[in-house]
Amino acid sequence: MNKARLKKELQMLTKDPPHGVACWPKDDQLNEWEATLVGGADTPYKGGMFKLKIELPERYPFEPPHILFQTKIYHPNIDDMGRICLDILKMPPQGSWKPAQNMSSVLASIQLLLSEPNPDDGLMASISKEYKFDRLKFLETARQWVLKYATEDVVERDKGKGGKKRKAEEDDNETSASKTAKFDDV
Amino acid sequence: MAESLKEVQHVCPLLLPADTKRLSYSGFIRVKDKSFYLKISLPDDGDVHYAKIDCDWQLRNYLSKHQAVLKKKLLLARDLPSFLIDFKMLLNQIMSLQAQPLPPPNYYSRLISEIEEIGWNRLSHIDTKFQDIQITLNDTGGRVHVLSIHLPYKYPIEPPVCNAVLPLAFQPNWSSSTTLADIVRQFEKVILEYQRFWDVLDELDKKTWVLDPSSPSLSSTYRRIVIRSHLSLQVTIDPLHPQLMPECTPLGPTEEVKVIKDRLYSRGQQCWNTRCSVLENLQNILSVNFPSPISTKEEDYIMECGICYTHRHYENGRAPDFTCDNKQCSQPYHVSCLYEWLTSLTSTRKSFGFLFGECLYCNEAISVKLMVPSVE
Repeated sequence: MNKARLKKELQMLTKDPPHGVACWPKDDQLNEWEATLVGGADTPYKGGMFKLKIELPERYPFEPPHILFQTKIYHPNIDDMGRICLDILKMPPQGSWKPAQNMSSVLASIQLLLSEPNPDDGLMASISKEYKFDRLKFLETARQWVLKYATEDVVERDKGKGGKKRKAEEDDNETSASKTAKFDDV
Repeated sequence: MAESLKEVQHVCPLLLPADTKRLSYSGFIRVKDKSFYLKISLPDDGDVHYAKIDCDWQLRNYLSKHQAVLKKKLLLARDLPSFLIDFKMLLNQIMSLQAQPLPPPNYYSRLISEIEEIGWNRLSHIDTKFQDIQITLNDTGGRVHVLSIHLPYKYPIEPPVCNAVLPLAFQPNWSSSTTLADIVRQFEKVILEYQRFWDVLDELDKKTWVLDPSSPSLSSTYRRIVIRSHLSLQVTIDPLHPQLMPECTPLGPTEEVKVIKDRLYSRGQQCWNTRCSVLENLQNILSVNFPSPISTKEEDYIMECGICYTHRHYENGRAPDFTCDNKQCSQPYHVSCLYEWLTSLTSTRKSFGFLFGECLYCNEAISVKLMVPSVE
């Protein structure tokens, strides 16, 4: 593995990270990184924090990084397992990965994918259909999923801090939030 | 047990059991036509790992420095016969190691007097066996040279082996009457002959930006110097004729390389003036001024490869040696990085010893020469 390039990429990510993106090597390993994406303000993912797991193959940058969403997300191009359907994450000829891409540009592309889903190349057929023909319902569900799975409270609860009380609180939050969400739509 | 006895006898025919339980053996072990007296006593349970070994003074002498190895072999042994095989092999090794004769006393007296002749102050290193010596010399240009001399045990019957950092290998003339001082004198003469060659390279190092090699040694004969960003010239100086026109290879975008090549071919030989320096000649022929390290910054010419994101390739340490021909792009690459990328694509075409693909940044068509080891 080419360590010099990885170090350079980490420098780039620390010095000039893409908007709303943080990325760091997990346990100071060079081949396994973690990242968080903050949902964009003009997207249904607003207020969400999404955790990503990044694995760098031995041949990186000649092969694309493997990226998975750790946080559940309601999106036409991201499946239940957190797999992302994005052309730059695949080798040509199916995809368009090239070493000119780097972690910073890839994460920025994923960020862009959140604000502009690509339903014609959907991984989740039902969500793609909903996105195309019933946008309001899609936005509604996406928002609810954010509150359910991707708010900081939930992330902390997943760490094992949560009890019944928090759960109740969260349910409260959810109902009130979904009310506001509905209000937004109107 | 009978089996084991047979095997023991097979390995060491003169080692016989000394008691009825076969827990003790005594006799001789024969290695390299020499027999050594040996007594092996096993503990009551017959465990070979805890066997006790007694031997005569000769054998003890051989084994004295190798007890740790012997103990390890004993612990790893499966049974007595296999240990004996190991033991014999070890002894064989030790004996052949010690068989190397020491040089006769006059080797040392001769060496001392010869070093005296060279001068002890010039001796920078000598090993404990008095076989490898290093002589340090300064030349007129203030460069430091180290001459390493390896003396065989049969010196002066066999010639010494000399090693030095020079553009061409140093092979001194040797006859039985030659002394080390003679060799040093020959070395000084060779150094003197290379002075002009090193002066030429020093001028390039001082007055231009050198991309390759990153820290040149006195043996390297080439410099890759910056003409302008993305365009460089690799100059290989002939160590024996440094004032003549060097071999020049321009590196950069194809069009600019062509211009440089045209100038080199059309004006090169006629306009080369051996009274001017190589740098002046090059500037004259190419009608360029090489950017000098005094007036420009290194960052202006440090190019990063578009694939590994570094200036020096992580394996061969070279600066990027390929540039995209698209003038708007001019993306530098290491040929080896580009090669690895193109070979991992299915869309890359291969013909007439070239790989055809696209620039990773502007999609301009590019071609890279197939590398020799991967030509099928």
